[in-house]
Amino acid sequence: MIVRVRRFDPAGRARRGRWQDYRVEPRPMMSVLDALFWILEHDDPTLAFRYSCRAGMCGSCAMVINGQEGLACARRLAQLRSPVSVEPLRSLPVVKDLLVDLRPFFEKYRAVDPFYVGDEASLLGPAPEPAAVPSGDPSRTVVDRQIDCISCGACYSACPVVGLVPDFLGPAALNRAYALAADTRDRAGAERRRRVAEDGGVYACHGVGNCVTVCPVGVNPLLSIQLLRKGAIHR
Amino acid sequence: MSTRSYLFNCCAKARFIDKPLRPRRAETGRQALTWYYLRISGALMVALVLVHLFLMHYAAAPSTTTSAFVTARWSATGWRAFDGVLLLLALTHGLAGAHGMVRDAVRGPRARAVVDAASIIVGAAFAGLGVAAALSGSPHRLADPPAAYGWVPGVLIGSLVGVATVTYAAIAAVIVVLGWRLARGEPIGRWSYPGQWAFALNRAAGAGILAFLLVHVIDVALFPFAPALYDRTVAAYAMPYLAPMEVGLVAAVLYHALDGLRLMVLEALDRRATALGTPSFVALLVLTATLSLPALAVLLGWRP
Repeated sequence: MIVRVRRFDPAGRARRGRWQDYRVEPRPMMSVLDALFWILEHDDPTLAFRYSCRAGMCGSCAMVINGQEGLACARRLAQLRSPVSVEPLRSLPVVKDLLVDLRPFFEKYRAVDPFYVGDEASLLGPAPEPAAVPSGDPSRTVVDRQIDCISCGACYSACPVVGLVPDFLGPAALNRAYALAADTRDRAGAERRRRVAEDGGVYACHGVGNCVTVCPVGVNPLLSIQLLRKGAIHR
Repeated sequence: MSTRSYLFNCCAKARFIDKPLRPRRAETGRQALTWYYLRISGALMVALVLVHLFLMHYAAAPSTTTSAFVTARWSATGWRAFDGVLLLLALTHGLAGAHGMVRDAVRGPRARAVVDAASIIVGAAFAGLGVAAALSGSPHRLADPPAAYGWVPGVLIGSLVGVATVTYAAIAAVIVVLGWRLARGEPIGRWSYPGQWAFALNRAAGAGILAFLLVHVIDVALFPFAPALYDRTVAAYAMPYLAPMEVGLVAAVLYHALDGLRLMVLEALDRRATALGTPSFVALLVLTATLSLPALAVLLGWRP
C-alpha cells in the first residue's frame, strides 16, 4: 500500500510542500495513524504528526485523508483507495509535515466564551444541588448531539468561508456557542447571541455544509448556526 | 472536584463575560445587513427574473430584441415599471453580494473604504442610467446615431467578449487542473465535497450575472437617444463566440435564483433538513439543466 504524505518544513526546503510516497506493509485493521507510525519506525523518523488517544475521542490526529478531513486513527487503510494521500488540516499554519498550529482555531473558539455560566445568585449562597436538565427535557434534543464536539478542527479545515473570510469564527466555535446558549441553565445566552451576530459570526456562514459532511462524531455545526441565527432574529 | 469548588470555578469564569477575551471588532452588523438584504431582494426578484427570462430567452432569441421590440414593450407603463424594479433589485442584490465578497477578503480600513465607495458609485451610476432609460420609454430620435457615441457598441461588445473569454478560460482551467490532479492520483482539495461545488457555482454565477448586467444597463441606456447603436450591440449577441454565453447566462440565472431559494428552504426547515443538502443540490443541477434546454433550442433556431 502506498501512503503519499504532503511534507512541509517551513524552516527548510519543503516550505511550499511536496508529496512523498512511502510503501507501507498493510496489516489487518491498520488505521492511517498506524501507517504513519509504521513510516516513522521503519522508513522516515523525521515525519511529524500529532496524536493522543488513538481511539477517535480526542481529535488530535485530524488531517486530510484522500482529500477529505477525518481522524487518522478512525480511518481504516483497507477502506481507502490507494495511494492514500495524507495532508495537514487546511486554513491553519503548518508547523511541520502533518502538524498544524491550532492557535487560530482556539483563539476563535475562546471568542465565544466556551464555558458554562451558572446562576450567580445560587453561586453566592449556600451550595445548592448541581443544576441538571432531566434526560427527557425537550431542550436536550439538539443540544445533546452538539455537545459531542471534540474540537478536532476538521470542520474548520473543510469550511471554504474560513479560508475566504479571515474574521469568520468557524463552525466549531459557533457550534459551541449554540450548545451553551441553548442550555436552559446557562446565564450568558444573550451575550453569546449578541457576539455571534457580529461580523465574522453566524451571518458570515454561507450554508456550504462541508462541516456536516466531515465531522467525525456526527455533530451538525450548520444546524447550530441556523438555530443561532433564528435566535438572533427573535431576540 | 467538590460542588463548592466547581461553583467557585464557574464564578471565576463568569467574570470574563464582562471582559471579552479578544478586542471587540469595530465593524458590527454589516454582514447581518447584507445577509438579510440578499434574501429579501432575492425572494422579491425571483418571479420577475423568471418572467424576464421567459420573454427574452424562451419566447425570442436575445439578438431579436431590437429597438422596435423595446419600443413596443415600453409603450406600456407597466412594463417600464417592471423593468425598472427588476433592474434596481438585480443591481443592488448583485452589488451587495460582490461588495460583501470583496470586502471580506481585503484587509485594512483604507482598502475597505475604497471598496465601499466603489460599490456606492457604481451602484448609483448604473441605477441612474437604467432607470432613466426605463422612464424615457420610447426613443427620442430614430435618425442616425450621434457620431460622438459610435465607439460605445464596440466597447460593449468587447466587454462581452472579454467576459466570455474569462469564462471559457476559467472552465478550461478547472477541467485541466482537476483532470491533471485526478490523473496523478492527487486529491482535489475541497472539491470532493458537493457543498463546495454548490457554493462555488453560486458565486461564479452571481459574478457572471453581475458582469453581464453592468454591460446590459449601458446598452439599454443607449436605446432612448441612439436606438441604432443599441441595435448594433444587441445584434452582437448572435455572434457564434458569444452564443454559448447566452445559454450560460440563462443557466446561471436559473441556478443562482433556485440555489438561493434552496438555501432559504433548508434554513427554514433546519433540523428537518439535515440530510437534504446533497440531494437538493443534485436536484437543483438537474432542474437548471432541464430549464435551460428551451433557451438552447431557441438559440439553435427553434421558435415556439
